[in-house]
Amino acid sequence: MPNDSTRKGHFEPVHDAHAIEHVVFVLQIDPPLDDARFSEVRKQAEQFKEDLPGRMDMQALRLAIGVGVPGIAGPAASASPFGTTFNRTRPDGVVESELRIDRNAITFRTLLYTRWETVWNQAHKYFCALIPKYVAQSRITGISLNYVDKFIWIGDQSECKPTQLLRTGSKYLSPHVFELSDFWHSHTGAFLRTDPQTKRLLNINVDYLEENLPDKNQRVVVITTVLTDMLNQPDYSVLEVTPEAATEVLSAHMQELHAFGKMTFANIINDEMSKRIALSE
Amino acid sequence: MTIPSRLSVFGTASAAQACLAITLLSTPPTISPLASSSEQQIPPVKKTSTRLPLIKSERESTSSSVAALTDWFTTVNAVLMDESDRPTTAREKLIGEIRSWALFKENWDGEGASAPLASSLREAVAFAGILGESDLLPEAMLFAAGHAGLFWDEEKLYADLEFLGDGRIAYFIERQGDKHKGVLKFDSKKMPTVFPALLAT
Repeated sequence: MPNDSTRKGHFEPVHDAHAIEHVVFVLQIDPPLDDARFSEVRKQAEQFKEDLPGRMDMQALRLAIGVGVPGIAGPAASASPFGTTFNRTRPDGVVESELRIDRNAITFRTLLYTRWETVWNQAHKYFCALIPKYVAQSRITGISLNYVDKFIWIGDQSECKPTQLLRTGSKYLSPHVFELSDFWHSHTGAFLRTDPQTKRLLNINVDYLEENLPDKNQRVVVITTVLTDMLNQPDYSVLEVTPEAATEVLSAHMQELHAFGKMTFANIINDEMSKRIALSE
Repeated sequence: MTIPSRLSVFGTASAAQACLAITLLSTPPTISPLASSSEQQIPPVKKTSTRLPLIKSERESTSSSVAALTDWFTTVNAVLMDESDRPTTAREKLIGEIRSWALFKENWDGEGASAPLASSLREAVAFAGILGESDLLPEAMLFAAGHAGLFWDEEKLYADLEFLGDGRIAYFIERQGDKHKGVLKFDSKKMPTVFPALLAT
C-alpha cells in the first residue's frame, strides 16, 4: 500500500471518516410558550436524563443601557427559567451533546456525528417527545439543520492551498478567494421558495484560517452550512400542523434539508474530496 | 460583533431606554454524575483561531427579510462557535483509512494492482460501522484485486475478511486451533450471524 507520509500536502477531513465537527438541529415556534406550557415541556424532557445527565437552567436578566443608570435592572418578568439545557459532557468538561429547550425553540447539537441515520434518530427521539407540546400552542416558524465541516491541511504550511479542496467556480464561494494567498472568509446567503409554504434560507460561511493549538498551528478550511426551512412567513401559505402530525412534518423537512445540504456541499468541495469522504453515500 | 458562545442577545431598543434582555447562564447546577476520583481529568483543548466575524452593523442595516437571514445565522453561530474539539475515534480512523483508498488509482502498489472497488470499500465501511461498541476493532487492508479487507491478529484470534463488492464476504478465521473459512452474504445493514461468535475475543 502507498505510504501516506510520502503524499504531497493535502487536506484531510477532521475526523478521518468524515469532516463534520458539529451538527445542530433546530425547531423554532412562535409565539413563545407561556409559563405553564413551558413547565410541562421541561418536565417532559426529564426523561432524557439517562442520555443527557447534565442540566442547566438559564435565567433571563434585564440590562438597562442608555438613559438612566446602566447595569442590571433586575430579573425578567417571569420567574421560571428562560430555558434549560440537558447535556452530556466528557471528563474534561467539553459538552459532547446538548439538548436545549427554550420557550420558542428546541435545539439539539452534538459533536458525535457518525452517520446521518444514527444522529438524526437520536435527535428525532428528543424532538418527538417535545414537539407536540410546542405545536399545541404555537406555529412552527423554522426547521433548521446546520453543519460545521472542517478540513485540516497536512503538509508544509507554505504550500497550503484551499483550492486543492474547493470546487473551482463554485457558485457558493466568492470568486476572488481563489486568487488569494492569505486567509479569507466567504459568506453567502439566499432565500429560496421551495414550495408555497417553505421559505428556505441557505447560508454558507467558509473560512480559511489558522488554528492555534497548544502544541502546533494548523491551517484549516471550515465550512458552516446553515439550512433553514422558514414556515408561516409573510407572502407564503400558512402551514397549520396538529400535534399528532408535527413529528412527520419535522422529519420530512429534516430529510429534505439533509439531502439539499449534501447537494450544496458537493458544489463547494471538489470531486476528489467528495469521493474521499464518501459524500454521495 | 461576534456573539460569544452561550450568550444570546435580544435587542429591544426604544427611544427612551434601550434594554437588552440577556440570557445569562446561572452557575451550572449540573446533575451530571461526578467522575470517579480515579478518572483522569483532562483539561479541554484550548484553541484560538483567526476566524473572521461578520460585522454587526452590516446585518442591522438590512431589510427584515435579510435581518431574518442574519438572525438565524447569529443564533446558530452562537451555538456553533463553541470551538471544542473531540478526539477522532478509532472507528472513525478505521473508516477514514478505508475511504481514503477511494482516491487510489490502478497500480497503487506499483505491482499492477487493480483500482479499489467502490462497492467493496462501501461494504467494508458498513461492516466497520456495525461492529459493536465493545468489539475489538480490526485493521484495514487492501487487496491487489481492489477489494477492501479487515483483519484481526490477536493472541487467540486471527481473522481476515475480504469484501467482494457484490454483497459477499470471503472469510478466514482461526480461533484457538479451530479454522473456519467460507463465503457468506452481507447486506451492509446487519452483522452476519456467524461472526459475533467467531470474532469474540
